[in-house]
Amino acid sequence: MNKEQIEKTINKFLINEFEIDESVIFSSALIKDDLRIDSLEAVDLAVFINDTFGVKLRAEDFKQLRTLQDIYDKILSI
Amino acid sequence: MQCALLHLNCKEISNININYQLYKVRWSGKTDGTPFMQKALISIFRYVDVRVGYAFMAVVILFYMFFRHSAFMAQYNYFRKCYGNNPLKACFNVYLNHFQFGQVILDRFATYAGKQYRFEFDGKEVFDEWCGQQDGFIIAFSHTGNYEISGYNLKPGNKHLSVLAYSGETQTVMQNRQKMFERNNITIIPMGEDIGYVFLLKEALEKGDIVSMPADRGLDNSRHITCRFFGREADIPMGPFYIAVTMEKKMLAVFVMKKKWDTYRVIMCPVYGNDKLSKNGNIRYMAQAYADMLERIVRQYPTQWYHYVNFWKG
Repeated sequence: MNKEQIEKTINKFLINEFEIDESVIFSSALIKDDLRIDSLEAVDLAVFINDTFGVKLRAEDFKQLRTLQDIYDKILSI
Repeated sequence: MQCALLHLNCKEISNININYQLYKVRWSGKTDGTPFMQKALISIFRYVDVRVGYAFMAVVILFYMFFRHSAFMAQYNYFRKCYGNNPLKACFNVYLNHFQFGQVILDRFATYAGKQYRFEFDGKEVFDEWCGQQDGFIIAFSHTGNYEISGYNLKPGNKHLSVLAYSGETQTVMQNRQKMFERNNITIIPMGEDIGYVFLLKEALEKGDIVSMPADRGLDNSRHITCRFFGREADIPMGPFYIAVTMEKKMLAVFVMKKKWDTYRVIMCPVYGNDKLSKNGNIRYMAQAYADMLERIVRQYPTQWYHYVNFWKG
């Protein structure tokens, strides 16, 4: 999967599963403050990323991710 | 005990709302007493029968009833509204409730001192069967009876059991808990404000281990689902059900109720979801199924309901 496809897949998941408004989804959006993803949704997102991209995110990984761009980059880097 | 599979129709499901509100701090999640008092209790129970402690507790508990007004009122209203007790009977039942809660706390310290309790199991075949499978599962416990004491006696086979617990306890309680749990391949995951502990639960489940979580009371800033409980609306933490549905893990409700001074009854019931529903619908369905189970148990043991804050909405 290329960068655009990863972004599209993640964004679609956030809109459909967490009902996040499309207008606040941009690459520099802060996961906690802008997207308001809580601990349960973080686990949900981690399960989705694992199932879709085969990338396993641990608690330490997730704590380091600040923005949506960090998530895209993390998936691309593995 | 017969664990009937609960079927809720779609109309009932739609009446249960997911509540995303933030809740103000209501409970500290901490056992009373200073570390010195707790250590003294453990030392005393090495030589003294726990029933001596009960006799002392029967008197001390009266002071708690008078000076912990909000706890008294929470229990008083529970007996008045859920069972229709008259004021006098409700006061008497509040006393019995406080007394039994005191016994449960003393039993915990007596266990730290080496006392063995007897356990009668109901539905353990499900626990044994699930322990024999590769997949991990969730144990949902509640603040009724004495769940913690079962942890010292449950043998989860080759599986590791991770218990999610409030992190506000004193070092004495935490150290003794950990010491008791280590014997049975059990570790404690302290519940905190950051996401770390949820990921530890996820990782334990992915490894095929058992994760034990409170399903009737969460952290106050956690998400809740409003369920019907004793005919009124009450908030149930969403976490255990959300994780069960998201990770497609089975859930076992475990209730450990005090039967006699030295005997506990351990009741184990699977909490079923409904795959035909949407994800959110399934989460609500499981939460309501658990609330119904909890209500059935609490009706059997009304004085073993240990919520000292108002459990219901409004």
